Amino acid sequence: MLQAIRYWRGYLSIKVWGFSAERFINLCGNRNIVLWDIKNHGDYYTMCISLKSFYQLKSITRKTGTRVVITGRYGLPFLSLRIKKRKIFAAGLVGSLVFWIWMAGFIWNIEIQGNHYVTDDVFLDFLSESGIEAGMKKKEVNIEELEKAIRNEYNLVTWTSAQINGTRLIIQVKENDLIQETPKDTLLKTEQEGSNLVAGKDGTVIGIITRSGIPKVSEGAEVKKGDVLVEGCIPIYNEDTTVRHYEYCTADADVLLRCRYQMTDQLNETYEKKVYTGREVRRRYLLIGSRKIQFPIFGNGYEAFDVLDEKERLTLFGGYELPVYFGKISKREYVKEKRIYSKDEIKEKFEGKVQKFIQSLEEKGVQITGKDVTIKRNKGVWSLQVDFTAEENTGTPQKIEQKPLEDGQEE
Amino acid sequence: MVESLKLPKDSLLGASIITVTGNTDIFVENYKGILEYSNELILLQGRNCKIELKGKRLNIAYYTNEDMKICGCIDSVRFL
Repeated sequence: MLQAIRYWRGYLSIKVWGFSAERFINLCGNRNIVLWDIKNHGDYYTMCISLKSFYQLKSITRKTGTRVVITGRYGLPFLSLRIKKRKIFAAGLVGSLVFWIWMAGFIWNIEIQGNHYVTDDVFLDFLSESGIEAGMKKKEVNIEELEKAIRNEYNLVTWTSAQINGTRLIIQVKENDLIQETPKDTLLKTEQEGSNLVAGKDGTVIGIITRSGIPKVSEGAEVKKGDVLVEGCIPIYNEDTTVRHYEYCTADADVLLRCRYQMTDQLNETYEKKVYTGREVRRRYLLIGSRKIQFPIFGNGYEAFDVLDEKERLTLFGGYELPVYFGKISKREYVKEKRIYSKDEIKEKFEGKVQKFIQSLEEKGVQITGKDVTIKRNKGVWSLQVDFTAEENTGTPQKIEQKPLEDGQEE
Repeated sequence: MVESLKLPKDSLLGASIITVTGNTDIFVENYKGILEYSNELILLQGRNCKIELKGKRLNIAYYTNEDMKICGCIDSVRFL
């Protein structure tokens, strides 16, 4: 340890010879100068002396008539002599370390895991409204309040946890799919007053299975939208077949309805197709925060072009993500050409659209039993009309108005 | 008188303290200076007397005005 201290202060190894070297050593001792590693080499002595004390040697050597020569320099002070010329380098080293440590106190990335119903963009917008954004200080993030706010805002989220990992804010969210958002008000009302089941579309009733309430229609009946299918108001009769009072309930039934769906679409026979000329310009760029630096600068000579943008984020050690992106932009030129669809192409396109329509209906639980497709061409415009016959479950609850009791029957 | 009062001898009498460790190290305190120094002989001046250290390959590990340490192969310590 002593060695470390000596190194820190700096010392020299010197060679002393002359008339009376012992007197030299004595005088050094008298003046509180520390010497060590003193070796006798016959004619001369070698020893080590601290840098500070060396400056006092001049007077001593004069007195004793000895000569001193420096044989070696050790210690930090000699290093810093070299470094003095490169002060900026040392300052830069320290500065970059400080900068790095300072930057690590910010949040640079927000990640949301476990969300399906609520999209990332919506979530991020909500976060930035609450004051949580990339680039904010870590200390400003109040995790408990954040979790509370998320739970309050989105009813679908049953559990949420936020943690700060390096410079990332990771929010884990668990959504509960089972809880349906039922409008509580209407539910309460219907429980008290009863509700009818009405048809949602025009059609023919194919089958009806009533669970509660009085069915008003039977198989084969034609109904219009809004017609009452099942009544939730049950009359209780007296002995003389007059109505005593009405009992209200929520009508519930499975009503299968055959109905029609129609789909129309139009397409122009001429269209503009992008034909790529093959000319392309590629540039690399560096995006820092919101500043973009491109090398080299773009010269835009194309009239119409497609832009393809790839960018990669700079991450250090998996925990520190910086808002720095490396990217490549390529612009591809194209020329618009007028083309005419052939009959087969038109058919293909329409077929695709029809399939999509059918898919969307099937997702809602509607079964398509038949379709009738008509494709016509009129003055350069192709038109499509499809009539579907479908079977679906129908029945929407509708509140009943309280029926007044007949006169003379008040309880 | 000093002995009866059990006072430290080195500060009152000015005596040198020599600590010998084995035959390799000697630690000397409270001396006036070095009279002679060579590889085989070191002559120190104490307050009242001289101290002669004889040996082989004698090196001075460090030397300050209060104490010094001598390393080497020690043959004898004499007071003159």
